[in-house]
Amino acid sequence: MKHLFVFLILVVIFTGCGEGFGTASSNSGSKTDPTTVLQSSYATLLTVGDFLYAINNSELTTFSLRDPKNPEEINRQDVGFDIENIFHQAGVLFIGSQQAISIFLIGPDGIPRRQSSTDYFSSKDIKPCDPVIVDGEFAYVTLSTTAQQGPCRRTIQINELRVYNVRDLSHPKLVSTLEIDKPKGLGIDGNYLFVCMATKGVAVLDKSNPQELKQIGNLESFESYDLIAHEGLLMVVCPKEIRQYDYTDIHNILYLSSIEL
Amino acid sequence: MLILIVAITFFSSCTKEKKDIVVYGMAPIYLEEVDTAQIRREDPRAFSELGILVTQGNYLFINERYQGIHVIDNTDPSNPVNKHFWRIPGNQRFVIKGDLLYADNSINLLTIDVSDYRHIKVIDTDEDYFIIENDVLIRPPLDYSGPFECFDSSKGILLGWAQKELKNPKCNAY
Repeated sequence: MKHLFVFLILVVIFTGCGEGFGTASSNSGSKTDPTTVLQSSYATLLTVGDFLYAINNSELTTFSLRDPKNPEEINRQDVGFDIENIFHQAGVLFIGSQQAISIFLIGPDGIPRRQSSTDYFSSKDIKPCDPVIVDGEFAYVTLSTTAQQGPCRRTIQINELRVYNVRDLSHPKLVSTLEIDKPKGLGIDGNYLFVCMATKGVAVLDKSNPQELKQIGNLESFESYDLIAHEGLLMVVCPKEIRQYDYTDIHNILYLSSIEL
Repeated sequence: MLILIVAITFFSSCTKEKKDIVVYGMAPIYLEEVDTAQIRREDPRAFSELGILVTQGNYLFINERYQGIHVIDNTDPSNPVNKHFWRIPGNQRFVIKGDLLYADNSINLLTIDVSDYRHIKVIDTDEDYFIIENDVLIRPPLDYSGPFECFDSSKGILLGWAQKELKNPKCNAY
């Protein structure tokens, strides 16, 4: 009887685990599990439980997938301009745009409610490209632009990675910035952060201390736009190819393959 | 006689029309019809302009901007195999969930049954979620600056942008 009780407890624990609504981030689970879905950072359409979230240039639309073959709109709201991506972690949506990171809490009805927005700049001259991804309490966003500013049309460059503490969803706080050459898409696995550099390959960073990111490596020199990092496998999207690397040993990253056709 | 010739030359240059401005720039490529029967599996093709990447299990799905989705068997990442191309004219964004693919064609949200990767089928269409009402917001890729032919939604769905000789372009990207 005692063994049955323990067994039942274990059954409850293990069936409660896994990708339920609000318990997982956008990229979790085993990559060989046929149901695990991973997305690169520039995603503008994603599913969370029985809901589908879609971004056009300025609106976030929520669809119910109660009948997955027939999505039904249940909400539409303006969320800013020039949106680059949407990311989900534990029931919270983070939207990266050229103006700000906006944070939305998903209600029990599946409808997102805005908690806050961070402003990058007040100047309208500057248009960075900004996907945001989140791991635990910290949001990581890349800003990359060349802009003409002021009456003399002075050229300024903004190329950086920013880290925000988002534990308080209503008041994100800038924690650190790191200059990176033309940063684009990015991805995280544990203590490591991988950032595409438009023409210089991929930067490999140690993020165990988000206040002080350290660059620990660099993958070759190729054009890279976006990536997925998961369980030791790095998949990089380049304009005309997909490059894959094994980073199980982070100090000895192995090139695996390139798909061109 | 000489005075007559000079007079004719003078007057013809005064009535000469203003020159057209002809420059190289970007122009939209349009798909004229929205026809879900065009959405189908095709043989694998080369990569040209890749967008977002989504994986499910051992498969990689990669957007080919405005054209569709490449499907790659990545069971062995040292030896990935390009298996299919899902033709979806106008496609920019998608996500996959089990046997269902949710994808756009720049205007509508499509629900596509992909239980058989060789025979995909649109089973639902939700209209007008991605169309940008204000044509002023549509412009060539952000890394381009220069003149472009303004997008006109009455001409069809935006498939992409191409270099072209433009006459009197009214739009400019900064």
